[in-house]
Amino acid sequence: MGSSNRLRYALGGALVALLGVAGPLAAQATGTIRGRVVEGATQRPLVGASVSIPGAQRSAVTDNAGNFTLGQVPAGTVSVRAATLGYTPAVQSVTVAAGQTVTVNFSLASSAIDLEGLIVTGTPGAVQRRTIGNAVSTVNAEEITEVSPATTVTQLLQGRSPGLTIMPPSGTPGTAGSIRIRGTGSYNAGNFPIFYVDGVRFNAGSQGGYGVGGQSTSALDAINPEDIESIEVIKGPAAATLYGAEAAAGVIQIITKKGRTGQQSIDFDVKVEYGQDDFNVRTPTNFATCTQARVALATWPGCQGQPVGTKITANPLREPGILRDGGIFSYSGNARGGGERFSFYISGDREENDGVFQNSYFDRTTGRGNFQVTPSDALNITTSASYTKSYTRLPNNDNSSWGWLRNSFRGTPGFFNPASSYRVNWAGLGPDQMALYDNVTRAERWILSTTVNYQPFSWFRNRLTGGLDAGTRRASLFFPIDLTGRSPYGAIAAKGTISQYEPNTRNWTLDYAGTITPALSGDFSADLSFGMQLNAYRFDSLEGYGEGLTSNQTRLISNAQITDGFESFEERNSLGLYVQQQVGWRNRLFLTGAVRVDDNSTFGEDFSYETYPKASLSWVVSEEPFFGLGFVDQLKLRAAWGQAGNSPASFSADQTYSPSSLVLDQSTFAPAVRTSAFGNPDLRAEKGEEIEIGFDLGMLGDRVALEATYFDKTTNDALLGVPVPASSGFTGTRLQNVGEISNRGVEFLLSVTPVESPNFTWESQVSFSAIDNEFVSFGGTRDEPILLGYGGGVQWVEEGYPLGAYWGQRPRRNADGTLLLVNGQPQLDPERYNIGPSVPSREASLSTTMTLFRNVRLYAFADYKGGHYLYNFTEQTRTSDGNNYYANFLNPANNPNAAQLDPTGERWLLARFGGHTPWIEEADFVKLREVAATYFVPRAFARRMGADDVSVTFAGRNLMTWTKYSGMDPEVNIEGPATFTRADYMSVPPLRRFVATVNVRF
Amino acid sequence: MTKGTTIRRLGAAFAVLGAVAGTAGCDSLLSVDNPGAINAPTVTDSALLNAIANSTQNEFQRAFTPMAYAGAILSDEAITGHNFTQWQEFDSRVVDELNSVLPDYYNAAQRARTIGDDMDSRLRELLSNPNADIRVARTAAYSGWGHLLLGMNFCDVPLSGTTAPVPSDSVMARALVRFDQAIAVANAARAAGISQVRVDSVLHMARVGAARAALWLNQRTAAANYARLVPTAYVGLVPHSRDQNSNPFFGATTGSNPNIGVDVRFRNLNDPRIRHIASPVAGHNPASSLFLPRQSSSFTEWNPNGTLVGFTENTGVRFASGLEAQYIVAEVEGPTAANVDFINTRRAIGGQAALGYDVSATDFRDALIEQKGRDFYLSGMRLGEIRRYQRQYNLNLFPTGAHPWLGVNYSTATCYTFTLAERTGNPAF
Repeated sequence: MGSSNRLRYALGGALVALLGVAGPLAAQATGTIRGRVVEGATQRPLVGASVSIPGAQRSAVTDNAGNFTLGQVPAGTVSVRAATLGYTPAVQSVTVAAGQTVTVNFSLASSAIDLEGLIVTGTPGAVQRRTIGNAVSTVNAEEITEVSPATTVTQLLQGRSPGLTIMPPSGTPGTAGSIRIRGTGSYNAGNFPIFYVDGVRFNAGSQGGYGVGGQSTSALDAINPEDIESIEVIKGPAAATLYGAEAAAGVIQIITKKGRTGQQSIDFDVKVEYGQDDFNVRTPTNFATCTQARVALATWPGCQGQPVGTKITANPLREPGILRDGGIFSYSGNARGGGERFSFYISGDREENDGVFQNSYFDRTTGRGNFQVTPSDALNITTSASYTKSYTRLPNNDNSSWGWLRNSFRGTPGFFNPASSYRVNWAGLGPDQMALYDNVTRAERWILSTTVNYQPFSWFRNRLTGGLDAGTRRASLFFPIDLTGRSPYGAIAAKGTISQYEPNTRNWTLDYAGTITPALSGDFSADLSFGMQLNAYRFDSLEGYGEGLTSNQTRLISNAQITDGFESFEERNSLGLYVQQQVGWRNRLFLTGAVRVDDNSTFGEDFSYETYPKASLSWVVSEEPFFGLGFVDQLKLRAAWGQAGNSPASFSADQTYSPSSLVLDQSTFAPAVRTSAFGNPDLRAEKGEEIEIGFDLGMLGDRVALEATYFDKTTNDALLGVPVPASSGFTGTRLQNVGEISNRGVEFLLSVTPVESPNFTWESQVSFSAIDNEFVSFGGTRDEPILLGYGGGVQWVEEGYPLGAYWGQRPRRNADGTLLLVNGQPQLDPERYNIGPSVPSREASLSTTMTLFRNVRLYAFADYKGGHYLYNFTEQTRTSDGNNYYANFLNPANNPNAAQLDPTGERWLLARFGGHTPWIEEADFVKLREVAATYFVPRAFARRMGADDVSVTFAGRNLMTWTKYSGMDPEVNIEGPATFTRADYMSVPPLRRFVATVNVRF
Repeated sequence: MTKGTTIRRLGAAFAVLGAVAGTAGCDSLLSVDNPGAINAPTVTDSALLNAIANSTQNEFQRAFTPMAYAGAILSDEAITGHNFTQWQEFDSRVVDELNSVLPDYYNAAQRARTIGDDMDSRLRELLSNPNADIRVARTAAYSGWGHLLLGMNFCDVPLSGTTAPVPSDSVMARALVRFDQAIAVANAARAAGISQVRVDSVLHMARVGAARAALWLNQRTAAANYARLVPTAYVGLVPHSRDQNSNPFFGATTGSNPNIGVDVRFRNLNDPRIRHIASPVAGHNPASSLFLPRQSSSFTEWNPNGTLVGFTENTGVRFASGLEAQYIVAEVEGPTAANVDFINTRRAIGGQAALGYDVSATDFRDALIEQKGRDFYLSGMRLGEIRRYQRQYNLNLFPTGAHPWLGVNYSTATCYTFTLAERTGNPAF
């Protein structure tokens, strides 16, 4: 026994003793089955494959070498089934003699159409994919993290599921992006899908913090991708009915890795990653002209000694010492194993990711323990606990006057005014001042869950899940006492200020599902399911503020001369009951009907409950006797119709006043009230209704698989904020269920294995989706569009057009084609026109993996987004400022030759006076998102090192972009998680990343 | 027990469970608490009496100084240094209901106007003798000032959530009604034994407001009559506190991105009433060149001896005064000896030569307008005043020609307008 095995068995024994639940050794009337599960083509071991004896409550999971052991198998002939995600399950019959060990090996063929795979999301219990009438995407996270440099859940999901649109966060580590499924289904109630982690509702929304111009910290970063086994994505109301009044935007369930019951040993997996991010995209150059006046002025040191007319340039961000390589260092480890009646998975992870700016980093430490106990054949208990602690320091950018990109891209070359400048070439603050900005958020996250599966009778299954997602944060913003006398962050900050903001979220889940499976005669089967979900959400925050510090070493709020405190609170509860009946015929035709009833504390007091029905049909037509297409292995036709809701925000049904304070003098106040919310007592959830049809096809020996879906989703009673006229005394908007929104589209997922042999395997996957989003109706509540976005409403919500689409105005022209100017200002045609959607309407991705000689794996992943536009507000602003080509070379004030170059100076004039249309650009792009090469050290050599497997991976992310968009990157957004606002304004683009990873399993 | 029996019993049990949860249980499971708000029906609780009595003043104070800032930008008092095009449009006298900054000011002014009526009705429910209660008088007076704020700065606006816009004259007429009501109730309160000091604080404020409204309406005799009853030393302040309602001029004139500068007409006057920095600096938009204002004579920390004093978050602003009342009397009466003396006193502060007693009515009027502009610089009066001068004297003091740094000529707007939300949400449109 090698040292690693000794360690493994010693730890296993200790855990067995600790848990005290080690099963007894084989009884007299039982035997043991041992074996190995390998991939058919390459003969590589399949790790984590499930091996079971159906009907006998005996199961095991393969270890790092693909080995398994099934103990206490009743003597006699039994069927042994091996299955794992992405492969066709296999069943073998074996005869077990009492007290003996028999060997059974499995060689599984890969399969993209895994009809036997189990799905747990959107169903009352785990059911086979073949029974489901709607599309469910399963992202094999464990496989992806082996080859991909993705370090966040958002990166893990990007491009992996057709219909799932990821608008990535900025390149600043720790920031949040936006996720939507099958388009924009709501204007007011949000389009972020709801998240579950092992059945427990997870709050993926923003938890707040101190703003840095647009980006905010990400809640999803609390989850370590290395802990995820798979992610299930259910995409719309037809599939999400059983999640009720908050699920119309879809459901994403994260399923974490579990232990391996029956393994009788422990596997260890250690991974170390090292790399860097770099700001590789082109940054804009600023221009200035040394005029006669400038050459003589001390405020233009860049023009000193230069001939009049000299064009000087600067690219401040590229000055030495400004940008750095953002180091990435992470190390993670996990142990998993189990005995006859228990299993466990324990992991730890540490990630350190420096941003490219000096005051930017994201550090995360996570720990997770998943434990399963099976006290009897009828009872299984799974308990999970995870803890994450992260520190995120965010720099200013986007719409912040203190931002790095803003002060670089809008700087004036050669200019330095001692009264308002901090460094020549830079606008506003210089790098030394910006680096001082100290905004750190510490986040702690607990996710606790327990699931009890109890099957008192073979025909009656129960599942009860209870859990808590608890997040506690502390955002801290510190401005040291200004010693320069220039107050770069303002007069108050110059006195030294400290702000602490502590938001807390608690999300409780209680979920029961019961299924009765009566034994029907003949070809029919039936499952009657019923259940209940209770979800309770609480948010509270405390904020303290101190102004006027005595020294920069004393950072307690109580040390400050002036202190303040603030508090906020939010609460909402929901309760849903459902019943579902599924009828099967010959295990190939399944008809499902269900209804869910929901009540929610956010509904108005004059409204009681919502009802959501669903129906679906699944038909594995390839198993019908009449099916005669020999090249088709599997074909499932499916159709589903259903409804789900999207509830309004907390307290939005209430008509309220808010307490206020009348200022009598600077330190004396008196109570007052102000009008607050003009709530709607009839408020209810908006209702999404969807029909989808499609098929899952596997053919040519499962070498080609195609999933195709068409969906038509309508949001009825869409929540719209109907403006409250200020002349009523109230302001803002009043939610009403009046709108209608439509999303129609198609989704395709093609998986191909062109070559599959022991020494060379090539697998590819192509996905494509297209969507037609339309805001159908305001419900007669208004004639005017709703204006959104930057630049005075460049995005509109207007009947007949996509939500948040860009709209433009054409400039009016003289007969000779030049701009019509009045008082020197261009005149815009009052008639506005639709330019196009602000979010992609077409998406595609291509991933391909080649495995050579079993030891080398090459992986590449590219994606495309298109059919949309992006407002290049960065360039418009630079143009109006006078820092780029147009303003400086085409502005007659700066360049005597301008009239020859551009007689109209059109863009400069339009940029300054509201003509945003020229800067709304097509944003189609193709990105080479990921490339990786992995070398698997030969197993014999690995064993000499005491390991089962050793691999080394070199990977890159965001390597190339092909686009016509003129800005830095077509994926940037001024507010990463914003629902609608889409604009490119001084946002850090997704950064290029290179990492090297060593992965050791033993 | 057979399987069928078991199923039936389980079914019954779950049906009962469902029914329980769906009826009695739901209410308690779903009940939530909102400790941050007061439900509308409870705003007649006697425990809220003081809060109700203070709310109209509170809303006016919150609207006043931001409106003074916005009024300065649209008028000839100040120029913007903002990078935001919304402010650049205002500064170049382009006012559009689509402007996304506009709601901040329109909403605040409308709230200041409407809350007086709301709180007046609630006070009358709670008080035993509302027509002689100083709290009702104070509410009416600040309600009148809320109307003034709206009428002076905005063009046609609706006066309820369901009625069509009316001209500024109608708003001013309603202001006058509120001021008269305040005066009547305050006098009744004095008769009922309320202290002279408390009564006077309401009376003076109401009379200045009434005089201004009457002057706007060209009811000149009435204006002078209201004004003559105001002591010359009276000062009504909008106080500010960094904790609750900080002075917006502080943020606009400090830090690395200031956004307001003194306009050409008021620069380098060598008048201690109008202070600004000596050399311009770039503002939020680097192309701007701003003579940043410092506290002028309408602000509480103004130092008449020549020292520049920057704005703070706590800096209060004078909104009503005996000084204004004197100006109103002088404007109505014309160049009497007393009024010429008054104007000469103001001119002397700025080092300007005295007018002779034979000054023409027009020259006197122009001199009065000049001095009033200086005395009340940045205190929220200018936009309404130059609108009135244009209408009553055909005198256009709005900035024209080329803007100092935007590179365009000024447009023609003379007042702010209602918002798109008003037009969309108000069924009378």
